[in-house]
Amino acid sequence: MSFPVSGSQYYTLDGLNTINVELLNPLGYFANYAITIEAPTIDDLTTSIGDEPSFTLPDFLAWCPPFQEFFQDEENSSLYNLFVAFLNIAKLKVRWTIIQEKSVWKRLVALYIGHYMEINIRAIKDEENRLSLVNEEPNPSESRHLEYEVGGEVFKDFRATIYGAQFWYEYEPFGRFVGGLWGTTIL
Amino acid sequence: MAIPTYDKLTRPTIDKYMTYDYNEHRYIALVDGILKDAYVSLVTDWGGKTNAQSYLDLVSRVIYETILSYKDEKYKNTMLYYMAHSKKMRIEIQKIFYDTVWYNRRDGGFMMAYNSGANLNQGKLIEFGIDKALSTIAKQIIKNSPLGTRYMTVDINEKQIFASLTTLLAYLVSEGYITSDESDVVALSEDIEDLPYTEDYQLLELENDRYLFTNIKSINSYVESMWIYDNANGTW
Repeated sequence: MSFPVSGSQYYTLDGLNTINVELLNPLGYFANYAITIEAPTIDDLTTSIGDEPSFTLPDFLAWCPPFQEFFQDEENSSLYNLFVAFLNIAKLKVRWTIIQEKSVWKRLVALYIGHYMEINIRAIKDEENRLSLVNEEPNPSESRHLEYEVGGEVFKDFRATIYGAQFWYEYEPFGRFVGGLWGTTIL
Repeated sequence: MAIPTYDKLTRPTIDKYMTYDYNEHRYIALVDGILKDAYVSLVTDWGGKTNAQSYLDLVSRVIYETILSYKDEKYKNTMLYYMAHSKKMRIEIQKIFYDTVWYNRRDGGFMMAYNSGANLNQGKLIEFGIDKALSTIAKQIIKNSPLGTRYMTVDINEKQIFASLTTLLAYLVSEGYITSDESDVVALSEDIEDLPYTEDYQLLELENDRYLFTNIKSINSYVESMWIYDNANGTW
């Protein structure tokens, strides 16, 4: 059972709460019943906030302009597929039903994508040639140190990148209610 | 589409400025073009047109190897394909040719990169390395273009966006990825997860029920066709 909303609500024996209510009902032992709540009621949440807005590539570039050159050929850009994949996840992590404000939601989705895009570009550059099959011994004087380490100490939360820091500053109060963004998943 | 239409060459362009070596897959500057655009008479310098052209052949190999040194070996085929089929890259390569010819006439150049020596007093070997093969300007031309990136900026895989599931399924059937019966199953369920297992393409759902199709084996077909060139009619 959730917050009562306007109109008639129909309850069945599909949860512990309804079973408990049923046990207290002397007239309807294990029977379906309808309850009409006249007051107090609030509007249906999904009706009041509307559908999730669309999020496009220009929305992303508005908040993360350094990536513009990477996407000048749109779907023909080498990072476009990565952008789409992150967008699909970002919509799950940055819930529209939690933010409920179009501009803020778009900014948070953009920053979330920007955070992981920054990390992936570092990985793609692979300046230490870790993903190369070429047998090149690193030159100690020229070897570069990667500043992130997944699962290690440096990359331990969204503060590891410029966009991640902005994202988490805004989203931290909400993030604890979203699965996968709080606790050991990130740390 | 893969390389954008405005930039794509169906095959390497051969004109009076540059020719193309289909065995090694590289452009080679021509003596007349160097004279016209770089204002250098290589015929005079090298004592004949044949010698001068042979010299430009060597310059071409050095330029290509230097450009490829910016990327890992795993991107070599992709990069060679892009350099052969991009109008923008052709211009950049031409600029590097002109600059390198000038550089070789001065105190540096690819001949210097081959040199080495020993300092017997200090017991040290002196090597110049690949960074001396091109001039500072040529290296900057590379860095200012996708030639100098460690990863391709353009996705050369064949990609297409479909406005609906119906058009996507029609394409997959027409290209032989799935059968009509398999298409009917997905059309009924309206779920692309019902498509048969494949390792040939990638499908991503976009906004407004659109779909992005990517043929992730494009480079295989490109590489296979790169080695088959018909000199008789000039087609791949």
